Amino acid sequence: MNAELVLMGKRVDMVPRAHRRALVVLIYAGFAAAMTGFWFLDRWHTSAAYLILATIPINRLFLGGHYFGGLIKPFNGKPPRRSDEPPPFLLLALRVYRPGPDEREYRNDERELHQRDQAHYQAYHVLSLIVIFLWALTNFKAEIPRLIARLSIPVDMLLYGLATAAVVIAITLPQAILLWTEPDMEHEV
Amino acid sequence: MISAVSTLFGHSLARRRTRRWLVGVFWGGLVPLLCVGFQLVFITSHNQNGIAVNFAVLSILWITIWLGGVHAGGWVKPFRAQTKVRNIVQPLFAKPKPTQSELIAQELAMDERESFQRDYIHFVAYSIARTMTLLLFTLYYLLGFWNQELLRQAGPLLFFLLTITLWSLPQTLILWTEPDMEEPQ
Repeated sequence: MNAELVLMGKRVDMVPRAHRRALVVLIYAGFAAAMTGFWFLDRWHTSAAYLILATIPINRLFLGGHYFGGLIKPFNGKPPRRSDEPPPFLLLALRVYRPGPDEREYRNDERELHQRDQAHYQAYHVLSLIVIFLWALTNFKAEIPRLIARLSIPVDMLLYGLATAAVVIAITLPQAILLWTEPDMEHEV
Repeated sequence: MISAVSTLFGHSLARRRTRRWLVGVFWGGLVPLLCVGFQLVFITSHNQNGIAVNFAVLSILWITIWLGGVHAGGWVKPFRAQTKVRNIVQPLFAKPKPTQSELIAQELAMDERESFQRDYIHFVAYSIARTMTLLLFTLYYLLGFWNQELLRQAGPLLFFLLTITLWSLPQTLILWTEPDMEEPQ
C-alpha cells in the first residue's frame, strides 16, 4: 500500500489510518450523494451506468487495486502499460502524469498478497449477503405488498438502485477493506 | 480443503479427475438446468415472482448443502470455523473431554495452508464474479433499451444466474484445483 496520495501534483499523507478511513467514508458518502442526486435527475434510468463508470477514475485516483494509481498496489502485481510516445499534454497540465514506477510500487510482497486475498474473502461474503438481501426484497414484493407499498419509491426502481449500488460496492469494496483495516504505517526514513 | 469423508454415490472424491468431472457436470448440466427450471417457474407462475423467489432460495440452499463451504457436511470444509457450545457437564477433577460436536469441529477446522488457500480462491472467485456482474449488468442495461418486455422476462434469470455463481464458485474452484488426496482407509 502506498503511503501517500498524489492529487493535482500535491502529496497527501496517508500514513495514519484515520486519513485512510476518512477517505473511504468520503468516497462512499460521495457515491450515496450521487445516487440521491441521480434519482431526482432521471430516476437512475441513464445515470446508473455513469455511476458505475465513475468507479474507474475513483479506483485510478484514490483506491487503486485494479489500475496503477491510487493507494492500493495493483492486485495482479503487473506494471502499468507504457508506450514510447511522450505523455499527453493534458495529463502533464493537470499534473496527474506519473513516470514509470519502481518495481516496489506495483509488486506485492507475500504479506500484501495475503492481505489482498483476505480482503477479497471478506468482501465476497458481503456480496453474497447483499444478493440474498435483494432476493428477500423481491420476495417481500410478492408476499408482503403492504410493507412495500408504504415506501415512497416503486419497488422495481428500488431494486434497480440497490443492484447498481451493489455493483459499485463490488468494484470498490476489497480496496476499501484494505484501507480501513491496515494499521498506521511507519514513515519512510 | 475437501472433507476427508466426501463421497458421491459411494465413490471417493479423493481423485482430482473425479472432482473435475463433477465440476463439469455442475456448470455444464446442473446450472443450466436450474436456470431453465427457474425461468419456467417464473413464466408459469404468471410473473408472481414469489414462487420463483422460493425456487431460487431453495436451489441455492440445496447447492450449498451439497457443495459445502457455507455449512459443514458438504464436500468442501466449512470456510468459517464454527465454535460449538459445550453441551455436557464438565467433570470436577479431570480434564474436560471433547464433545462429539467439538471432535467434528476439530476435523473440519482449516489449518494455515488451507485458510491461505481459501482466501486465494476467494480472490480468484471475486475477480471472476466481478467481471460476470459487469457483463450481466451491461446486458441488463442493453436489454432495457432494446426491449422492455424481454427485460421483464429475462431480468430475474440474470440475477438468478449471478446468485448461483456467487454461492457456488469458490467451492467449485476448490474442487477443481485441489490436487489428488490420499484415499480414506
